[in-house]
Amino acid sequence: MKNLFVHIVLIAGIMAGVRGRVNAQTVQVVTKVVERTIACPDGLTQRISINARKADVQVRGWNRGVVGIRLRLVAKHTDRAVAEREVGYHQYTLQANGTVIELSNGFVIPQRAGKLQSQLKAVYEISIPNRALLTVNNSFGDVNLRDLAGETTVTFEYGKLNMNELTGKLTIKSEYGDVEGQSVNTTLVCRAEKADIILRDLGGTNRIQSRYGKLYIFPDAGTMDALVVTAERTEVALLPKNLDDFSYDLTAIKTQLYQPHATTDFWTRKNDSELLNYSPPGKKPRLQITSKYGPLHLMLFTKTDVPLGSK
Amino acid sequence: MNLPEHEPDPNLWDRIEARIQADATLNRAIEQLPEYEPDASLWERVEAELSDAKVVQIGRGATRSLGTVSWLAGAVAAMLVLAGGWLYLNQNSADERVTVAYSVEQVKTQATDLPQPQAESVRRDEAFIVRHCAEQKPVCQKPEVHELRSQLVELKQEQARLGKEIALFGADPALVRAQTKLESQRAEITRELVTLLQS
Amino acid sequence: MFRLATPPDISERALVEQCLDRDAPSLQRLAQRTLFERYKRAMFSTVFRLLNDYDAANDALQDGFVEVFRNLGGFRHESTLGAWIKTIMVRQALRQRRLFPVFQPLDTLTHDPPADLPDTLTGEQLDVAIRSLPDGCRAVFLLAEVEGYPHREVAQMLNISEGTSKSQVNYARKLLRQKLGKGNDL
Repeated sequence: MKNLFVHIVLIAGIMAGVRGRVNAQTVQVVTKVVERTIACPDGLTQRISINARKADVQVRGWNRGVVGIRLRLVAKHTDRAVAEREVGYHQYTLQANGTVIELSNGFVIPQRAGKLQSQLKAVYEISIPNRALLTVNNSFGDVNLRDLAGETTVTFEYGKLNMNELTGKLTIKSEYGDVEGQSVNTTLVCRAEKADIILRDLGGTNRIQSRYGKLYIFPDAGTMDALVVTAERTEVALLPKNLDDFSYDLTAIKTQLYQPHATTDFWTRKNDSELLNYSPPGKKPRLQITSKYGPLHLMLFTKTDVPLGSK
Repeated sequence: MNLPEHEPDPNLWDRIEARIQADATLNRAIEQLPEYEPDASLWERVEAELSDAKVVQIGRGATRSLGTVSWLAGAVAAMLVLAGGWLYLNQNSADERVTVAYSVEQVKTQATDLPQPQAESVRRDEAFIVRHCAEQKPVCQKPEVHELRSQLVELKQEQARLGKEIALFGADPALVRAQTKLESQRAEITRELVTLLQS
Repeated sequence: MFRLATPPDISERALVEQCLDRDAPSLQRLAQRTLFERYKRAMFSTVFRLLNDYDAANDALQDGFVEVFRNLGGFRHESTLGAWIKTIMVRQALRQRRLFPVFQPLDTLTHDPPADLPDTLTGEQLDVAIRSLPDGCRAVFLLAEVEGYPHREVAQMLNISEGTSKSQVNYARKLLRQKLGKGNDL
């Protein structure tokens, strides 16, 4: 159990970006700002497709029938002239194409230019109708989603996906990219590899697959409908506030199942698996987790006893 | 006759102090306001007026007037395009606005902080795995050992791919973070494999 | 970036002289271009923030630079060249929008917003907040607090009283604290 605490603190530290030794340096920042609005009257017949590369993508739902876009193409270098030249290597598309609103960025580095000297980064700040169909692809950057209630699909590698106040349908595919969610109450399908995932106040219907990662789930009694987790070589922790808010169907295969004292009578062992089936009186949302080769923890979460130092 | 004294609100000093602090923060940020770039064709417009050249009205405000461009401005403009290739501002599309802002930033760098290639212990462990399985030990036939070894191969391929990105973009923070993540994954899987082989 | 005959580090006085040298028209034009390049960003930033309109700001800058070159002979080096140019640009910007100072009533903020500003406040964040201020109060704030004009001059430029100029600065600071205060998302 102590091990899990250490991990939670570590993961929080990593997610907060705490890393090794740092030096301060003054750099010249040249930012090309592209602003545009595109009509998207009902938000339903058009799909908003963001194809980002090395970008931070912030998408927020709003109550208007337009997509508001502010794309910042940034080049940073100690020499302003270098940053000015290399900011031109950013490419982008912001356009409506029939039923698709296409927003994308990329880089074209002239061969004669040799190795890139500046730090290049794109930052999307996008507001979309909150019930819109949204697809986001990104690599090596963060994706922030807030106040969305439509159908959202995020596919990314590396970087981190942050989610706040989401409803509707949500599909996440991550490789090497971490996920942190707060008040996500959706029909969620998540497939993650080598990702650290924290979902706080999780509600809705959830199907999560994780391989080689960490998965911490704080289910919300008020909004949770169902949870099915299939994990492999993942450290899984389920952290309800009250044990009796949910019913549990937990299986740990070739690994250990850690549980609170109150459920020990409901624990069984079968071949190479440990099982915990516990249903409190009344109909409660069912949390089903199968974990193979990675420890599975069920522990009560109260704000005072877990030093979850993130933010 | 002395009028009585009154005690002000006990929080008054905190409020005053917060206000002084806020003003200082604001003044500091004022010094750091970003700079903006005017329209790329502005010089041509100014020059056209100075030469009293014919002024052509085109479109809405975006390029309010465009003079007959003298050979000199033309040459300079051509030079600019060659030198920078990015002064096509505000001309991409009617409803797209492009501005360029300049600012200075203090960044925390991790200088040459590319993750150190394989710590000594990890390398030792990897050598151990190779040696161990070269001897055809039965434990190496276990599916989970196979699985972990193929993961290691996958991670090495991933590291090579990331290496190419770093060669192109330099050691930029997002890529360095990705590299660190791969290193720790690799170390973790290696450790797990060694434990498994020794069991 | 620019390979011009006028050396980029030319002194202000020499640059002004070259800009006025009608006997060498091509050198004169190069000097004017150098002056333009030297000041365009700073001037555009001031004017753009003031007008909050990209096209109008470019128009003001165009007219402003033409005025600068036509009147440069009258520059007496009593202030810096930059300050002299800036005043021309500001007046051009104010001319762009005749109905510029539409002042907000001062009582729209019934209580003092929290005074705390995040230490991490960046120039960019402040820029966004300034650009969202109401026109008149933004103009006063920019001229008095960012550009450093005394209230007497601000008042004269905007055709308002000195007292109004001062109270509008306080109003702007209050609004900025409200917009940028801890916990407020822009």
